[in-house]
Amino acid sequence: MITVIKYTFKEMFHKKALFFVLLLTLAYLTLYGFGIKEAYEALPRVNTLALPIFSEFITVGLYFASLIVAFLVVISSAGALSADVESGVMQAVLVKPIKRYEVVLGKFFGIGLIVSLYSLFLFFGIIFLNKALGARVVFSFSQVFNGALLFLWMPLILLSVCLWGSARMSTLGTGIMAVMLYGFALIGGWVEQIGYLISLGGRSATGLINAGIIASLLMPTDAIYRKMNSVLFSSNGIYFLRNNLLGGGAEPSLYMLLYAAGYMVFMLYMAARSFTLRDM
Amino acid sequence: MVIETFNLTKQYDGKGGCVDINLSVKEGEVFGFLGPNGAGKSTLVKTLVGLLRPTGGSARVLGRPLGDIRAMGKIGYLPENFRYHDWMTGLEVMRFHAELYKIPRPAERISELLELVGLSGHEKKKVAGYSKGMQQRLGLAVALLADPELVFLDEPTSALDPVGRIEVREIIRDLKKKGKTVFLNSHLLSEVEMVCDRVAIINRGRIIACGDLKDLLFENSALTAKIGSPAEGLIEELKKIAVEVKLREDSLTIKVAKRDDIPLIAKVIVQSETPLYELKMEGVSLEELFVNLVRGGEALDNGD
Ligand SMILES: Nc1ncnc2c1ncn2[C@@H]1O[C@H](COP(=O)(O)OP(=O)(O)OP(=O)(O)O)[C@@H](O)[C@H]1O
Ligand SMILES: [Mg+2]
Repeated sequence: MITVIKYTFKEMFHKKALFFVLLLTLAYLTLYGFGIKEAYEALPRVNTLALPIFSEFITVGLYFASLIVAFLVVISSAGALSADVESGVMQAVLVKPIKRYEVVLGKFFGIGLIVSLYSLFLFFGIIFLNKALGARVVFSFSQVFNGALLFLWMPLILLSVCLWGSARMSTLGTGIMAVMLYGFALIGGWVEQIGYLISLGGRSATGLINAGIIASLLMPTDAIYRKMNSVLFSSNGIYFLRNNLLGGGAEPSLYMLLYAAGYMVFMLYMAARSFTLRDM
Repeated sequence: MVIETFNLTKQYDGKGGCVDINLSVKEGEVFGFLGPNGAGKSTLVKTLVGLLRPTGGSARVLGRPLGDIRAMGKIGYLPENFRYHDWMTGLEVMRFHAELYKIPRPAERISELLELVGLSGHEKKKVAGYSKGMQQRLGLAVALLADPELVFLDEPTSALDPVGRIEVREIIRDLKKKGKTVFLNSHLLSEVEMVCDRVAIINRGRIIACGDLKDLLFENSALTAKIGSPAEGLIEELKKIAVEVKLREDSLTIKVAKRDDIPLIAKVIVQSETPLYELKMEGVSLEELFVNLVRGGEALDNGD
């Protein structure tokens, strides 16, 4: 399995995808940095007024950063297994003394490692830009640490889904499925948040909230994103982001986090199983 | 037995593939597996190396069930559609596969094999820039990497130039000399005739002939005797020895089970006082045998 991890890791650097995403990231960070610089200069000096606004900018920054990482995950993993099967490269690999699940896990850890490093780079990039350009927010170590872990967990969940698709379907089919599921989770998150905002106004919106929960069950990435927000932006029990469409609202329950963990493991299990049963 | 299959079947949604294959391949022999396009040769090999899951029957390879990790370490396989990671160089491909085989310190073995398949000098080039024949040579080197007990070669010379074909023949003979077992898929009959000890012929997914190459050719050969008018009782007398006797005008066609029956046939004819002008063995080439069997199979299939 170590061999598969090693060569998956190497392969990522030989493909143009990583380079392309890097360019995209640099462009994004430049634009984002420029935007918050302008905005922060215009902000009032009073902390109580400015603090929620800093938080808004940070969470929006992380939101789009997570989209970039998701993009990286899909383009680098939709074909992780299927493209090699389709090209015939896999045939020569699978006749070696190696179990098929080792190939699946090797791909998961190889791509997961790069994606994790990338996520951390983006996460700290956003935090650093905000700090450097004047956001007067103070994060404790545990806030940043837990926030970063939650941030890099999202792409790993998506990765496990992509590998399952790639283990049994074509590259194209996997890509379409992953994008649809991820988009579904995003929209589900908005719907749930709209429902939450309506219910704050005193009216019932259980339909919207339930739709959001179903979306989270199909793909729990957005729930993790909201958990990350609540970890980063609550202090002394006050949560600054309740009114944000992208990621405020109700903090996901512990059950949802456990579900997300189970979801990822189950997807990996299914990937290994499908791949083991697949005719090459 | 290095390979033993028991009614091994692999079909795609109930169609194609190979059906009820019963084969045994002995240690140290070069086994030729022949058949027309789409007969099921590659399907059987892929099933034996664990790439396809059988839909029926069972098999043992190197004494272990299909796809067993311990057996896989001692098997080499050159796929029909040989493709290797094209972002690597030839050398990197070899290193990668050596790692998959868990070969300690493979450097020497790798350069030895690259030399053997005629790729030295190209090992630092990206596989993407290899010609088809060069990729097949690389595939052959990968198949031999672990010094395997059993090598499956699925049409190993399909992309090679004439010199390459001769080189592969020599490699196969060399493997045999070292006591390795080779399972060779091919429809290049002359090639098979030159290197194989035993062959099986498959058509439409089923084995239609199997055995020692020499025996198969002999069984399908016949004696022809040019005679005058046959003495009374000659045909009956011949039928006691021969497998099949046919008389057409002044010519007898006689099939015998073994070589030693030929002098007996001659003796019977002469003793019956039938004039004998000519007696000769008309051998078939593997090609004739193959075409007869495959064409015959079609006629049979269309009949029912
Ligand atoms: N993946 C597949 N799905 C469906 N049918 C298949 C598949 N692969 C092979 N077949 C069918 O199984 C039969 C045997 O194919 P196979 O590739 O084993 O033939 P072959 O003897 O290797 O032929 P060739 O000499 O052309 O290489 C063919 O009829 C083919 O159509
Ligand atoms: Mg074939």
